[in-house]
Amino acid sequence: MLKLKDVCRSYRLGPVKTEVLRGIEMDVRSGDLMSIMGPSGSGKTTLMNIIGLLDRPSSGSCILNDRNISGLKDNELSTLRNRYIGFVFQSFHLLPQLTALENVCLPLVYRGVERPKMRDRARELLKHVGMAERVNHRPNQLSGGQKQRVAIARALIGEPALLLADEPTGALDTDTAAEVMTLLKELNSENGVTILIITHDAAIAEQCTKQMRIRDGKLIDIQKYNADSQRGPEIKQRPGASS
Amino acid sequence: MRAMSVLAANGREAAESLRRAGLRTALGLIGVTIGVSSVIAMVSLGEIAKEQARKQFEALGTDIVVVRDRGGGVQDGIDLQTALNLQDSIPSILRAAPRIMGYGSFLFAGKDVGQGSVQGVTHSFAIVNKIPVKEGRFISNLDINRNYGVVGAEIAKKMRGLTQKELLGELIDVDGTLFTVVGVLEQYEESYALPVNIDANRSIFIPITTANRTSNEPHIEVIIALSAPGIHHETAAQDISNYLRTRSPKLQLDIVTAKELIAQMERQMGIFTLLLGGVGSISLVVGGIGVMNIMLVSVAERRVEIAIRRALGAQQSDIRSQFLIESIILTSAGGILGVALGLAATYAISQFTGWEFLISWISVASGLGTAAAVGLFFGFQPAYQASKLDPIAGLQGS
Ligand SMILES: Nc1ncnc2c1ncn2[C@@H]1O[C@H](COP(=O)(O)OP(=O)(O)OP(=O)(O)O)[C@@H](O)[C@H]1O
Ligand SMILES: [Mg+2]
Repeated sequence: MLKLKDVCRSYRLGPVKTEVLRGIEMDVRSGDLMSIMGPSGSGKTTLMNIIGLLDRPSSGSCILNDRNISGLKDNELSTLRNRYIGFVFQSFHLLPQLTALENVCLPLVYRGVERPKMRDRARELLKHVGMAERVNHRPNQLSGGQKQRVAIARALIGEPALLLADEPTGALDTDTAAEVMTLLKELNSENGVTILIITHDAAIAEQCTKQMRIRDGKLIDIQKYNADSQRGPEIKQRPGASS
Repeated sequence: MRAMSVLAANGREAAESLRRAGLRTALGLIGVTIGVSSVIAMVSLGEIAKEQARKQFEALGTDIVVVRDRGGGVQDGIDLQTALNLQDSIPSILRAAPRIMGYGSFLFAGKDVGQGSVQGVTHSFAIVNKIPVKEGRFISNLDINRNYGVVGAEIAKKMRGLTQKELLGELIDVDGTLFTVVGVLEQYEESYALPVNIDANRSIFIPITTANRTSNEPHIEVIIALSAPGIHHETAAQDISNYLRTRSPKLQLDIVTAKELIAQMERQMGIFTLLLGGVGSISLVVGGIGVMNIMLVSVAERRVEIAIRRALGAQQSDIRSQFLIESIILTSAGGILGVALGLAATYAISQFTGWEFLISWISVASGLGTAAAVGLFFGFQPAYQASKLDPIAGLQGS
C-alpha cells in the first residue's frame, strides 16, 4: 500500500547540510499495526511528515497505492492526504473553537461531503471511541484521553488507508495511554485499520505487530534484527507483552 | 460542490472565530465603522447640500435669463430705451428687468442712515426677483424721471430710529439729491442661486430713468429676464441677444440662463460630493489597514490551526477563503454599523443646519459595497500569507 524506496531527507541551514534520513526502505501493508521507535532527534517526525504527504523526500521515492507522489502538486497532495491519511498528534491538535463533533467532521468538510451525512458519521465514530456523551463539548472541556479519542475519531472519519500517529500517548498518563493504545489495537484488529505509531515508549512499540527503529537515518526491522543478530536482542521481549 | 461545502463551513465558523478574537475584532470593527460612517455622512451631506441648492434655484424659477453687458458701459452699452422696450417687443420674454447700479450715502433728517446701492429699476425688477413690499409700493413704470425711492428694510429701520412719523412721503438724501420715499421693503433673503447681487435690505430703488440722469455710472449693467412659458431658455437668450444687438451691434453680452446655472451647480456639487467622499474614504482606508493588521495578527496566532487544517486535507484556496470570509464579514459588519452611524450623524447635522434630511441610497449602497471590498482588498494579503504557511512548521510550533 505504501512503499518508501531509498528515501533521504536533509536540511540545509546555510552551508551546513544535516542528513536526517539516509535511505529509508519501508513497506506498509494493508492491515499492519506498525511502530517506529528512535531516540529524540533521530528523524521520526521527519519520516512521518513524508509518509503523511506533508513533506517531500530530498531523494528517493514514496509510492502510495502504486502512485509515485514526488511529482504531485500541493493541491493533489492535499487531496491525497484527505483521502488516504488520518493523523493523530501527540498534542491532539483539536481546533479549540470547534466542538468535538465539528472537529471530527473537518476531514469530510474538505472532501465536500453533505453536512447531515458527515455529522451522522461523526456521531457514530465518537460513539465508537466512547465519546457519545461529549459530542458538543469543546476541547477545553475534555481531558487529555478524551481529546485523543476525539482526535482518533477525526483521523478515522475519512476512512483513510493509513492512520499515522506521532506519539499518540506522549501527553497522557500511563493508564490513559493504555486505554488509547487498546483503542488503536482494537481498530486495527477489529476494523482492519492500518496504523503506524511513532513512539519513544518501548511498551507501546511492543504491542505492535511490526516494530521498526530508526538508526543512523535508516529504518531497521527490530524483530528481524533480533533474529539475525548474534549480539543479542535490541529490545528485550517481555513475555506476554504483545497480548 | 466541494468548494461550496468548504465555503459554507468557512462562513459558519468565521463568526465564531471573530467572536473569539474579542477585543481585536472590536477594534477592527470600530475602524471600519468610522470609515464607512464618515463616507456615508460626507456623501449624504453632499447630496443634501445639492438638493438644498437645487431647491434654491427652483424657488428662483428655472425661467430666468441674466444678460450682462461685458463692455461695462465704457463704449456703446445697452441702450436704455431698447432695454425698456425689450419686455413688450420679444414674445419669448415674459418680463425683463434692467438695472442701472450706483452707490451712495444716505442721510435722513440730517443723520447718516447708512450707505449702499442705489438701484435704478423698473416695476418688473420686484416681480422677477420676488422682492416683497411692506409699505407703500415699489417703483412703477409711471415714475419716469421722478425722484422717488423705495428703501430697503435695514435703511428703513435706521430711519424709524430717527422719526416717529410714517416713512412714506419722507425725504431721504442720496449724495445730495433728495428722494421721496414711496415704498418700504420687507426683509429680503438673498438667493445665492441668482448670479446677480440684489442686496435689497441696504439699497434704495429708484426709477431707472432717474438713475440714468443722476447715477455716476449711468449704464445698464444687467437685465434679468423671465422667459415666456413653454419657451426654451436658449431661444429666449438668443432672442434677447439678437434684439439688443440690432440696436447696438458692437454690444458684448454675457448671457446665462437658470438652466445652465443649475447644470453648472450640479456639476460643482457633484465634484464637491466626490471630494467629501474622498475625504471620508481616507478614514475607510485607515480602517482597512487596521483590518489588515488584525488579520495578519490572527494568521500568525492561528498558524497551528492552519497547519492542522492543511494536514486534514484543506487546500491552500480553502485556507485563503477562510480568512477572506472572516475579513469580509468583519468589514461588512463594520459597514452596517457605519451606515447606521453615518445616517445618524447626517440626521444630526441636518437638524443642526436646518437642511432637509434625506437618505442618499447611493451612498448607503456604495458604503456597504466598499466595506465588503475593503475586506476583500485588505484581507487578501493576510489570507494569502495564511494559505502559504508551511504546515510542518505549524504542527511543530505548538
Ligand atoms: N525544518 C528543519 N530544519 C532543520 N533541521 C530540522 C528541521 N526539522 C527537523 N530538523 C532536524 O532533523 C532532526 C530530526 O528531527 P525530528 O523532528 O524528525 O526528530 P524526532 O525523531 O521526531 O524527535 P522527537 O522524538 O524529539 O520528536 C533533528 O536533528 C532536527 O534538528
Ligand atoms: Mg518528533
